[in-house]
Order: sequence, then structure tokens, then C-alpha cells
Amino acid sequence: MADHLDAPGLTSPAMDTRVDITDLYAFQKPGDSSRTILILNVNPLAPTHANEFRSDAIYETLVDTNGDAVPDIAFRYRFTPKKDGKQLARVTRAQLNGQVEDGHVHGDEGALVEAAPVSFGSEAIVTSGVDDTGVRFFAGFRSDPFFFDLLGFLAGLKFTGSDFFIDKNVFGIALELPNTLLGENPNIGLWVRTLVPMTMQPDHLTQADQMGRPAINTVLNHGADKNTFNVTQPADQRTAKTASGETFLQMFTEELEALGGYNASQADGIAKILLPDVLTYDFSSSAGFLNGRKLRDDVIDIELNLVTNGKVKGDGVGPHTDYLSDFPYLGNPHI
Amino acid sequence: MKELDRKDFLKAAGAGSAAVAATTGLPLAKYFTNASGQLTFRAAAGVPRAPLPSYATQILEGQVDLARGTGLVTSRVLAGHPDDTSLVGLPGLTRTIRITGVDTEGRQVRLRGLVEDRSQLRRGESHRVELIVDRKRGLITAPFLGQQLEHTLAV
Repeated sequence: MADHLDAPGLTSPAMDTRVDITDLYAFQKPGDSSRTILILNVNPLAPTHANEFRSDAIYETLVDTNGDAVPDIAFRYRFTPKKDGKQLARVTRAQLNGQVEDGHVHGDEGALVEAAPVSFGSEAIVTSGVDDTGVRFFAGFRSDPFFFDLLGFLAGLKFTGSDFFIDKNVFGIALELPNTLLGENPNIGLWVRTLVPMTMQPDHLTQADQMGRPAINTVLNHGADKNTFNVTQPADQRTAKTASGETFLQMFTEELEALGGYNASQADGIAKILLPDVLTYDFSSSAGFLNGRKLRDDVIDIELNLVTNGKVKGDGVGPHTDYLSDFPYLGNPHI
Repeated sequence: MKELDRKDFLKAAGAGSAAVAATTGLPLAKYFTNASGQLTFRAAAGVPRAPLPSYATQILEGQVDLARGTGLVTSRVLAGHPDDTSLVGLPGLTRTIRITGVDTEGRQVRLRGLVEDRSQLRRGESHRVELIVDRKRGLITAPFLGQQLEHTLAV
């Protein structure tokens, strides 16, 4: 539930686990400080609800290179329809030149990877990028790397150290790239989103899901506000209105006061760290969360501590042991 | 009238997630007892309880013959807040409860039952289940992961 099932009440087309983002990871490639690994996982509980990527969707990793929470670079992943059990992926990089509105895809795209086969079995099929881009790519069925005592959370933070996700799978998209493709400034912001055709206007895309840091939308937003948050661009997230009419920033502040016992000033300060919901990452550093996010980072312990003001130290669950030592790093699926 | 801000709401919501579910648009059928004494119900509770935001919803659906003391109750946990519940069930949390006894006291009905598939049970979870249907308050009290949750009956 880093971002798993965070928009389940959305009506079609977004009520679709194929475009339901579970996690975003960004970390320096182990042993090579000149390269970065970006991972976008979707499809919680796969393959229970879907066994493919959605072919009419765009999966996107957005990069803010100047700290204004407006994307400057987009990595886009598109998939062919699944046929005879096979799907192919295409990856592009676009230099953006303005605000990304809901469903608006712009920028000049250049191909990074062409016709990369999606992995549906245990073998991780890695495809090299076109020409001299220096890119490696993987997309397919994988073990869900996220770890959390979900049932302990549902029981009201009565954690038992039982990892709900230990045997779950996702569909992963992993991109290994030279840092030069992320811009010149090493301090960047990252988030991911999925875009799908609108039901009544299939030639127009709309945003289905979005995520920066883990467990922000799932934990801090309620009901219909989750859906609003999923389609609100990071640059607008502090001032966007919730269903109650207050801003998300006000609501986060009040949540932190209620859950953590913070005073108004402290809560406001933390809420301004959490919003905009962007994963900050210094690609010149190998440190983990809050600098990017590695597969083994115990983000839930960090966030439980933060949200409850240290009253809850963690959920007693640690990282999985099935991560691969090399690209795509995501463990083999539980088949 | 003083407007209820979110902080007040979170405090007030400590009374139970039932209060949240009661205001929701969850598509619930009516609960009723028909002429032949058959109790049919559907009830929901958000989990975790307030002040934590409800990430999922436990839904109870049952049909019980009050005269014979038999029937079936199913318990499922669906992803999503009670006012925004999905069709995605969280695995390992579905229970089918065979009702083996009923005690009625005024408008309160106590249902005793057994979980049918014991392989689903979590460590320490009993296969014996008791649910209390309080028709006056419109609530069902039922176990969930070691705690007693109040579920709002559909009206």
C-alpha cells in the first residue's frame, strides 16, 4: 500500500489495476555512480486482476530538474496489445516545455528503447536501448518488492511483523540510464503517473494515478480526496481543494496534528515537506530514502515515525530477500 | 452554526468508523426480517478505525433463519474507504461463517457461528465467531483481526 489500490473507487476507465501504480523507486546504480535506476511498479496483487500492461495507456516517469514541481523531462512507456501471450514495449524521452495538464502529453520525444519484449515468466528479459543511449530496460511480471504489515495497519497499528506483500506480485517497469539523461542538476524531483483514454472521448487521455513518495495518498487522504489527489499536478497540490473545501496543505496539517500530536507550526512544516508529493533525489549520492528510494529502504517505518511523532516506531517488517543483485533488481515472480 | 473542521471531525470520528460508513454511498441492500423469520443484512465498517484513515472496508452479508438458528454470513475486506469501495478483495481475509445458534433479546440478535474453511484462519484467530446484531442502533458487532468492530447496517 505504498500506493497500491489508492484510487479503487474511481469509475471506469481508471478502475483498472493495470494502471494502478504501486511504487516508485529511484536509486544510484550499485557500483556505478554515473547511472540511475528508475522503477515504476503497477498492478497490485498481479496477476489476480490483470496479466498485462494496458496497451492504450501511457506509463510515465516525470522529472523536475529545477525544483519548481513542474516536470522538465518525461520518460514514457507504451505497450502493444497482448497477442499470443506477448507484448512489446517502447520507451521514449521527452524534453518538456511547460506545465503538464491532466492528460496533456507534449514535448519532442526521442526513442530510447524499441520493441522490448515484456517478461511474463520468471526470466527477466532485459533490452538494450537504441543507438548509443546507454539505456537498459525491463518490463514484466515480478515479485512485489514492497514490504509492510498491512493487516497490522488495518487492525489499528497493532503490528505483528507479518509481511502481507511477501508473496505478492506486480508488473514492473525498470529503466537503467546514464545520469546525463536526467539533466545537469543532480538534485531532481521525480514522480510517476498513468494516463488512459477517457471513456467518452477515447482520443483524449486522462490521468488515472500518480505517485511520488510512498503512502502519501493511501494514508493521508480520505475517500474522494484520493481521486482528486491522483489527478492534481504536484505544483498545484498545496493549494488544490479537498472535498471539504480546505486545501490539501491544510488537511495534511490537521491530520498531522491529530495523528502525531504536533503543534500547528510543526505540522505545517512537515506537511510542506510532504507536499508537493515528489520523490526528491540527488543522483550524485548513493544515499537512500528520503534521497530517492531503494528497494530495501524501510519507508513505512520512516513515515510511521514521522506521522505519529515517534509514537509508532515501525511495523516490525523488513525488506524481502528476493531482490536480484543486478538489473532489473526486482525479484522473480511468485508463480 | 459552527463549521466542523477536519480536526474536530477526526476527534469526533473516534466514536467509530461506523459513523463514517453511515454517511457513505456504499451500495448496500436493505436489512430486514421477513415473515418467515429470515434475517437478511449487509453491513460495512472502515478499517483501520478513526482517527486513522480507512484504507479498506469489511463487509458482512448474511442470511439467517432466526427460528431454526441456521444460516450463512460472509465477511470480505475490499480495498477502499467505505464511501469509495472497490471490487478488489484483499486476499486471505474472506470468511464464510456457518451460523449454528441464535439468541434473540429484544431488538438484539446474537449469532453464533463457525468459520467454514479453517485453513484461512490466521494464527490465534478462533474458528468460533459471535456477531451481535443491534437492530435498534443499526449496528453489527463482529470480530476483525483480533478486535471487535461495529459495522453499520444498511437501512
